[in-house]
Amino acid sequence: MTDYRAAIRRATLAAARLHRDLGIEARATRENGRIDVFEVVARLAVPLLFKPLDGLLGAYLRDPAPGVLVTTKRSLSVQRFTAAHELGHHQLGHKPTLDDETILREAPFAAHAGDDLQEVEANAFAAAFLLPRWLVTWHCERQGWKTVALHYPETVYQLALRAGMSYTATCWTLLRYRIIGRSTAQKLVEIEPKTIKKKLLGVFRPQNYYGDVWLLTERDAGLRIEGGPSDHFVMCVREHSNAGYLWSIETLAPDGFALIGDARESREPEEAIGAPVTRRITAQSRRTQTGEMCLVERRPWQPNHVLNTLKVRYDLSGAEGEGWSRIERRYRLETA
Amino acid sequence: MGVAVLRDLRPLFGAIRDQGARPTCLAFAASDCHAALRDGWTPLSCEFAFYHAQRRAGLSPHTGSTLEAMLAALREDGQPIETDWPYLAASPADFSIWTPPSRVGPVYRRAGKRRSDGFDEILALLEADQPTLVLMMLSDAFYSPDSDGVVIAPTNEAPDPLSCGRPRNPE
Repeated sequence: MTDYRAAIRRATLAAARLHRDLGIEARATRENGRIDVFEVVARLAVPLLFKPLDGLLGAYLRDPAPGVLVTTKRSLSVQRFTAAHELGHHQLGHKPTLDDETILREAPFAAHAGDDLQEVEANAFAAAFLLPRWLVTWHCERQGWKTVALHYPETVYQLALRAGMSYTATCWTLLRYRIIGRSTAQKLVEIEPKTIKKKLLGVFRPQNYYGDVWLLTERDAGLRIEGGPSDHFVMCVREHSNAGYLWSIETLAPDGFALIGDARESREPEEAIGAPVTRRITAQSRRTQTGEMCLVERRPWQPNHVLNTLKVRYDLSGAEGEGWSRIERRYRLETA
Repeated sequence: MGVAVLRDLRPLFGAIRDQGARPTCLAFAASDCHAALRDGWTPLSCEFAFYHAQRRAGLSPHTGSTLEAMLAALREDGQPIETDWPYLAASPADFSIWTPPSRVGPVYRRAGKRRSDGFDEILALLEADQPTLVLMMLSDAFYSPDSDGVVIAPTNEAPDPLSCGRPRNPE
């Protein structure tokens, strides 16, 4: 197992080196708290193409020149993990490889006798690259999550969404950083994201649970969300309706979002009169779209006096389609 | 449809004050009812009333007041005039430094009485020129009256106990 431990260490060091060399920490923490692996691959001038691969998630090629293939048949978070895995092969000087679902089944930072050392390394690289410890810290500070909050599946799921990594890989990565213990990690991974989504959506039952469910609060103001075209947004905001200030939901573009829930909750003593409440607004994206969601809290009779604003930019393009990545296409257009 | 005024108690009250975003609606209402019962119009310190109501109920300045505590505050602690402890624009960030000024002028007390609910009793009190504090549940439509000042709620919009931070079981 010493070889495996050394391999995992080598992979995490390689990920940290790449973060340092490309100034990734400054960029990720200045923007939306996620590492754009497709952009990194483009900056390293490694060709990355998306193709509808059968039975494969991705591939790393070396001849005649290094290149990466990633399937179009999976979600954006799986595409991101696969690309990071293939980037790991590239950075660690591995031989060409075809990668199937196994890379998702194996917990990153774990190895068993008989495992392919090269795959162990690439998986550890992918997790350490997409969710380094400093990024966990950044999200926790921004969201006000204490360590104990990361023992709850709802919090880990929201962290995974913001970091752009799968829920399961996030659980194992938190174990690697000793933020949670092994038994907690094991319990967390046994909970399916669908169960978490159901809980977040309350009584609403969507047609399917492919879309993610983002829980947004005032702490997400200014965030840029990268999600999918059928994602749900549960906006939990403190509302001073006791003083006439109401969050306006008319600004949710009716053609882009369906309002599926609007309720108020209170954690204040029941007999307290005039306490602020929590407004819980749930909306579902209707299509692939990019834009800005802006909710304002104001008195209906004083439209120019805004008490609070929750502004979130979103890119709900979802999984990458066939060809170059979106960022690669943008780079190529800019330099054309 | 306009509003037909049958009895107008507004001459007993001063100008409407703005509570801002603080949870002090009950303190304002109770304070102004109290002031309306005194001769002339001198606004009383609702910061003082709110402070003592919260102290009595063991509640923070970031949450609402209970009716019982507010009535007890006006009865036992009383209120000085508004200028003795002017209303704070925002809830104190530091709970520990939220205390009344060391010196205030005379305080005025009022033994308010909690009555059973009932529209007839409210009408009778108003008919008798008795300033009356009414607690009620609102819905969103309350905040958007028509040009005549009439609130017309959509048929599917029921009063929401939380629409104005009101308790689930109204007094």
